[in-house]
Amino acid sequence: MLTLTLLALAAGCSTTGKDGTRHYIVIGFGLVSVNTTNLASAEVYKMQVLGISASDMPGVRLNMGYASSLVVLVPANNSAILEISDGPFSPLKLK
Amino acid sequence: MKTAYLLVIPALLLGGCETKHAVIAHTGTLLGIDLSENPSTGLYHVKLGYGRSEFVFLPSNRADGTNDLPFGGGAKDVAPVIMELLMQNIFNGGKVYQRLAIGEAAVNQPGASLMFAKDADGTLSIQAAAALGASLQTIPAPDAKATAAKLPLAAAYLQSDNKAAFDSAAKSKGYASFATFLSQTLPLAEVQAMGETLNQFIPSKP
Repeated sequence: MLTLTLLALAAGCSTTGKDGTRHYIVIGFGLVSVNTTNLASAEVYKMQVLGISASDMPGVRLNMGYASSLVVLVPANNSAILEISDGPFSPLKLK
Repeated sequence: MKTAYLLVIPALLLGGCETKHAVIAHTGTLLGIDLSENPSTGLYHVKLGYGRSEFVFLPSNRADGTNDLPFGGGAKDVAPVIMELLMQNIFNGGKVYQRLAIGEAAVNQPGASLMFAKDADGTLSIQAAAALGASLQTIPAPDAKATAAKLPLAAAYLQSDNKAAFDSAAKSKGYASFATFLSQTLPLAEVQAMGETLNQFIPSKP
């Protein structure tokens, strides 16, 4: 019961880690929106879903089951050098 | 059937979402059912089971956040990109290691060469570092004198009412336009030759 209560409280929460990474937790039904109108020099999004998910990045997508996605966005008129390391259940490392 | 509608309708609603003019690199893993649009063709497909997908989108001719066409070179204005993606099977850890250099300044950086010389674990061996150090010394750096020699030409072009003459001179030397000539990294001799051709348009120093 306590676990269920904690999970219910965590649903929809977002936290910011020490490295500035913003984490969103969605349990049940939720919507996470990312505004890409004014991109910073580079933005990296990681998504891990167990269940049903719909996304429009990079194309319209509807998944059922386990889905993992990593998207890197860099404005076309910018210069950036990025090194990204990622695993299914490990934090994203970005240099 | 109702369930199918519930799944399809949100996907169709997302169909109107706008993709901005950014370089997009996507890597995805799926274990289950995937109904998605192929971003490069716009066609939809259904996958069942385990699948991995990699996708890179390189926009041309547009700046971030606008539909205007600020550049004139078409596909020539595509941002240069060097990208390497190493990934493991999901049943073998599923680790993703990706490195990208995007933009002219980035791909010419020695730092980018250093990054791409690393192995799949992200470590740089002594041998690779030595080889890289030797090869980087042979890459010519932009000539500062040539860049300085372009400045009076650029100033004269901006002030001139006869920009067609500048474009004509550039085209006679094989450039698409004078703006193209200004944007390229060139040896000093070529810049000086252009200066001699356009000498009459360059105001003399007081």
